[in-house]
Amino acid sequence: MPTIAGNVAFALSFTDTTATPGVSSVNTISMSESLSNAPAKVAVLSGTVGTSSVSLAASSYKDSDGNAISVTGIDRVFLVASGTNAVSISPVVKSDPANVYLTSKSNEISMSSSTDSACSTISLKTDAGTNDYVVVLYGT
Amino acid sequence: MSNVSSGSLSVSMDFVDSTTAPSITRSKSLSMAYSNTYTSGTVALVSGVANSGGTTMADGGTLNYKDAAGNAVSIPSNFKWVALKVDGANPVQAVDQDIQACTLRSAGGFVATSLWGGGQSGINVYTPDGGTAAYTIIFYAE
Repeated sequence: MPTIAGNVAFALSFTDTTATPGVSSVNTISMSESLSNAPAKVAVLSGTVGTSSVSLAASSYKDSDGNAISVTGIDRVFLVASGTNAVSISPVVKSDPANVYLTSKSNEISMSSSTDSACSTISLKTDAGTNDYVVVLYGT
Repeated sequence: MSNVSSGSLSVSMDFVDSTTAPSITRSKSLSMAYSNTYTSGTVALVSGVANSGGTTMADGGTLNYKDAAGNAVSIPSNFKWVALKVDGANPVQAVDQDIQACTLRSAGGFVATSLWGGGQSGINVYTPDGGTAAYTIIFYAE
């Protein structure tokens, strides 16, 4: 029986400074997360998308071997797009209050929590042109 | 207004999928990583307790945070990205009020972060499943 181990790490730190004659003031803002997770399933979706929305149904989810996988309860969503055109991800069921919308470009990773049914089918598109994307979902 | 002299952001994730059979273990790994540094810009922070009714923070609204000079900081109108952290069990969502192109959801110590489109008129923070939860949001504008 396969087992999956996972880690997610997030860290930001900013220094905010003000200097006046004889006085220098500094604030530091930081936020971090370092959680080890044991998701039951991890799905990977990748491709190229343009300005027309592309829907990816749960039936198209693949594991890291490229084999079809059934992920019905999504705990977290990660999105990364490599080029400079912004790629946004949204669930198809837009009326659900638990919807998640994320945007990425230039290799920035966006991530959020999700719930099960609202993201069983997701939609992707760019704001202009085309871009390559990778979406990682994990859950049960 | 806050004046950033240095900053950094890093996000990473990795998963390892292992299968063990007699005398053999096969593993597959999947990972993502991103990091960036900043030498200027505006950073702002807001923290509070969200409820099901929601609280809207408009552009230019004064946050419960003072910069290094002791001045109140406003939400920048052109913030580039947002990070949300919620420590309690009740989920909190942050939704942009303009085009509703971005919704972050967090609970249980997890951080949610995303680029945030321009032109937004503010952020609404609420608990979609009810109850209350303490949250912190950090905004960054170039």
